[in-house]
Amino acid sequence: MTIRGGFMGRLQGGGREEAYRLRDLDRQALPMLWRYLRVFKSRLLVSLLAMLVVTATTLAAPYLTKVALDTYIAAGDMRGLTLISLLYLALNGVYWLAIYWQGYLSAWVGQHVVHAIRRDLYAHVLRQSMAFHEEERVGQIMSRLTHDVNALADLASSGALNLINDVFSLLGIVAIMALLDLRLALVTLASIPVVMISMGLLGKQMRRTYREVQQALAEVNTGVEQGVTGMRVVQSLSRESFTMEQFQDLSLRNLRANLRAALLFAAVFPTMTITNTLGLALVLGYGGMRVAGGAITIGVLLAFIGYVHRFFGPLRELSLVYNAFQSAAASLDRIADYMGREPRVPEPAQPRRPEGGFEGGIAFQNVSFGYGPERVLHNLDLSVHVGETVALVGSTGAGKSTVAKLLARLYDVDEGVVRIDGVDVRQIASLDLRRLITLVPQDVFLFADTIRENIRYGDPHASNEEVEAAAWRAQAHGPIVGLPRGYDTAVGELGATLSGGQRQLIAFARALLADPRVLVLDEATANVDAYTEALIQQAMDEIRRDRTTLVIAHRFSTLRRADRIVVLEDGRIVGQGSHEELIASNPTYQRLYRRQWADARAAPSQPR
Amino acid sequence: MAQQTNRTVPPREAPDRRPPGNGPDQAADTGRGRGKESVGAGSGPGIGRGDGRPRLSGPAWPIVRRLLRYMRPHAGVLSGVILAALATTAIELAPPWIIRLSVDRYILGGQTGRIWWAAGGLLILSLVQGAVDLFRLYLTAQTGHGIVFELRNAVFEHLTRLSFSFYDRARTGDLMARVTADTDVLSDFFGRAAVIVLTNMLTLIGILVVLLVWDWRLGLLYVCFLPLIVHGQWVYARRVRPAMARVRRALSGLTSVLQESMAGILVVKLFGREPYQRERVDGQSAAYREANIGAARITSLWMPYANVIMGVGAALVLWAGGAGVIAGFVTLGTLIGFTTYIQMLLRPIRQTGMMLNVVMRSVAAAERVFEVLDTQPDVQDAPDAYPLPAVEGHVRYQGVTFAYDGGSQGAEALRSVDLDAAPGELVALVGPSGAGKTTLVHLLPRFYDAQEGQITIDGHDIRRVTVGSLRDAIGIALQSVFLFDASIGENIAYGNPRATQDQIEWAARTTQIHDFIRSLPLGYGTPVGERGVRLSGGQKQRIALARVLLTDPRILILDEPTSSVDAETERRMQQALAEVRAGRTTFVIAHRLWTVRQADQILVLRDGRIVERARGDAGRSAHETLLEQSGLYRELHDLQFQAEALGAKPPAAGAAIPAPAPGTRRRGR
Repeated sequence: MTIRGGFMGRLQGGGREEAYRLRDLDRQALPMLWRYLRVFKSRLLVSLLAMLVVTATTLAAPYLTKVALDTYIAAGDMRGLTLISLLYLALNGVYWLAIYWQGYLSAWVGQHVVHAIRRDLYAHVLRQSMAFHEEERVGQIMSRLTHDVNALADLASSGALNLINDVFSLLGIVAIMALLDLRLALVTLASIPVVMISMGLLGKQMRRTYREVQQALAEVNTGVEQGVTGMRVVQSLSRESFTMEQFQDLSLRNLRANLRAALLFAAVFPTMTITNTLGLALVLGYGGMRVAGGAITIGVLLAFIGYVHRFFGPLRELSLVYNAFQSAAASLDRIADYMGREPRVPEPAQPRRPEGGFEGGIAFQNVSFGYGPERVLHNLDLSVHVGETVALVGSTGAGKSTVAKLLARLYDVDEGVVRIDGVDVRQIASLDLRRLITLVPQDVFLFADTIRENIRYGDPHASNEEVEAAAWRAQAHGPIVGLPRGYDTAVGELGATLSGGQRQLIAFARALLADPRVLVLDEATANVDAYTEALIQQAMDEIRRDRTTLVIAHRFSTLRRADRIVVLEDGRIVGQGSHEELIASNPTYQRLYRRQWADARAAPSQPR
Repeated sequence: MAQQTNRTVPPREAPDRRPPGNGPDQAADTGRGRGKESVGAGSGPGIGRGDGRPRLSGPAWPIVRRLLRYMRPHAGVLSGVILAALATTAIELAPPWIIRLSVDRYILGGQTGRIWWAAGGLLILSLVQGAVDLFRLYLTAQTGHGIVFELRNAVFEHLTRLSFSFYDRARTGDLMARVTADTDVLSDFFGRAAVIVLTNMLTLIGILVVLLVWDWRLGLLYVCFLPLIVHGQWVYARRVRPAMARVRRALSGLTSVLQESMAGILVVKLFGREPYQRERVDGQSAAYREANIGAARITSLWMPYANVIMGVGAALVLWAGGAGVIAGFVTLGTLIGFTTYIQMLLRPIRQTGMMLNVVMRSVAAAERVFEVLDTQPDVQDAPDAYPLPAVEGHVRYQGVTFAYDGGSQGAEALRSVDLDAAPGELVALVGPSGAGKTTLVHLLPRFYDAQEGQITIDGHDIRRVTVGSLRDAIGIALQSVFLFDASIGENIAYGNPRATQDQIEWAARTTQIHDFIRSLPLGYGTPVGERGVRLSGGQKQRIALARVLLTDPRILILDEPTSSVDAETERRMQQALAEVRAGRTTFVIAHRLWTVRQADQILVLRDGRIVERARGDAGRSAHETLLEQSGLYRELHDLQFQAEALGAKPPAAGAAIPAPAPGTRRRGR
């Protein structure tokens, strides 16, 4: 059982926020949090009331003991003693009821807030353009969606309640103590600074050390990951002992960090005992003297002993509360940071669509674009007729993939305009655009699901028959049914069970199932075996039928099938036409042809 | 009545001690995700099916005993720790005694001068106790972390010995969890649980003895409540564990949905499936929310239960003790001492409950760790293995049959393969994917052991020589490229740490990557991986190949060494490789048939058999001989040619190859 949020949790939790200052918190962040909490106002209120009852019942116990001792036991009043004992018993029932509702309700509210924030944050992240997703690492986004959102919920529900609880408990105890005996109360309270200072110092140290431990453990984790994923290489090069040494280094660093932390942890428990006892000793010594002197009754002394016990818990928590809030605030800030980012590819306010629907004519007009300050495309003009197949060729970095991404509006142009059937893509509703255009990227991504579901991703409403029909047309059916479990074969981690060619065919099937008016295809450069290669070429014929197709071509056969070839160089179009025209007149194309295809084309025909 | 802890905190799904929520950790999480269990779950040992949830498939006691065995070497330190624990327990019992004494003798008895002495005594005792505690807690933790350090290293070392067949089944995330997270859980067992359980037992017994000695009637009253508290803890543990497991499962479901949608964001966007993803995340997140609330409900109800029972006990003691005081057979000091002891009882009981939980978790974790340690490596040195002497490189396979899952009939990846490669020969392996080419070359460095047949190098049976010396003689460029999180230079020198910069650059030049590396600002010092330069598949492939060349092996195996390299670079690489190949026996697997034309020997595989083979002689190359045979080689060759040439003809006139009808197996062609 690991319970965080309690004392030890505050010592350990969220070590990486150490550098964060509460005052750095964005002013917009708190209102945002309140918007989520506001919905559950009444539940929060009940929870708060329940918590006050818990505090009250907890504080009443020593006082009842005092009354029992001084009023009834001293007077020998058995009836009164029975009554007060029954009251004590009843308080326990109230306590149980109240603490149950407090715990349950605050968790309920906290979890609902987390869920709502996570849902909205995720939707917001999905709306962000590809530029965002390429900049932010997956791990980082994940951390915000899980760790940060959870940390925030702790603050919003139980964290805040605990803080209020601690404050009330302390004030209550101080008040009762002062009422019982002001002088004894003042002497007892003298131990407060000792607790606050020692715990505060220790807490700070521990957080630092705990962060070191976490870092060291993360390093070990990375070491294992490297070792395990690279084990085949390690073994094939007989470098086991070297890897082992590297790992032992990491492991040793982790051990050292752990030992430093252990020393501090070992100090926490004794410090708690000693400070507790300090309070108890003050009560016993000074209180005892006052009882002996007749200034207070023995019942008051007993009550003080009871309160001293209850006093130190909240005090310790409060001495660490800054830390706890610091880490939650850092989480809140990171969430607000994401929430505050406007999507760089915004949804049009008034989407347009041509009368009679889209047909798929493409026009790039004077388009310039760069991912950063550096331009990738310069004043590009390109139009593709409905139903035409255009192949884009060019060396690496010529801007071929960028053209495809702009067409699919994964980015917005810096200058100029991209139109489909005369409509600026920035004015097309994103759902319309997705139905209209499908891009098959070079690196095929398949979900960790069955092949069937991966194809169905192109159209969630498709029946099994339609899925198989699409696979058939994409030439993927044969290879799929050749697998041991056919369409129900699970695509393994990173699709390890399928070859590159098979993955490409499945991606084709997925795109065919979506049945877009415009298809943009980034051909895989990876080598596939002769048989799959033939299948891919067959699939190409089917894919481009009845639609506008833009292919970033790496295969010579694709070039031969295209209605038109467009040659890109350094973000500019340097020629277009058929293979024969270009090979005759275009120097860039000639060079490309010589480098990429001439050798391959020449080779197999040689023995003939 | 309620003691110090008057709050309940919703249970947290994740242990606190975990690496920050970045890449590796998340990978571990999703890797262990329940949702993916079906994917990598092969047969064989349970590695790979793991899901991180406490699971006891067998009795716990043998595992606990095995864990305790690890503590034996530290018996000296541990007995010191136990003595210290006895001492602090005794000291811990003192304060109520002192309070009772002070109340009865000094405060009410009039010896006021001694009151401050008593208070001072309390403080001194607590200082002594604090010092002893510090000492014993640290020693315990040190021992625990020390044991875990050794254990973790042992597990990792064992992993380096496990063969390819293990890694075929295992999932990275799962293994990572076993080596880091699971061993980390064990540090709690060694470092705290065992000792804390012991000291708490001592405290409980001590308190009971004192209470019974003081007043056996009140003491007995008190004893009656202990079973109730223990029962409450037990109920709590029994209910909360499945609830926590649900929380963890829901979390890993949520993380894997999130992780996947982020990794595949491009596809999500391209198909406009954001609403669908939102729905899935919403569903998983709601399930996680409900699981958390369910767990919080149990915790809120049962965590305070012990407090409540203690409170009921306190009420009864107050009543009965008060009655005793009135009747005159109980002193006031005894009553006060009793109530103080009651407050002291809660912590040990609580802690014991928690620690029993730690023990249970440790058992589950240990089970997973031991599972790795107990996995026998498939490939080991024979007892009388000798190092392979310097060889010429004459490789022979005789009747080699191999199946991945240990040899069930009909599932063989290789069937009765014979081959004979003379020293210095270039042997090309050709065939459709899945024909067994990679399997064939993986048997030579003993990544797997064949079930039947024999493989020799210069007449040395590879099973009779040490695995290390065998692999030193062989350099293999694996099909899937892996680079380490290190600099490019370190990656190339990985196989040969003594290589000079000149040698490294020679290898890089041979694989046509030197110019690219020099163009980077940091050159050979450029880091690879997440924090480093983003390399294309072809660039990685060339670095990996350079790494192999640098080991200067007698036998070179190239498994699709240029699959991600563009045609122009490939051609230049081939020229450079031709020089490197000189004098080495080389096996090459390639899909592009024109890369195998110069082979001295060509073997065509299908369904694990060599179906065609040819050796070049003075007149004709192996390639030419095979083309004339009009067999599978010819078929593959024509297919490839047609695929390239298709565009030259009008694409009408039917397809070059008939599309396979549904139900036909690809490999059957």
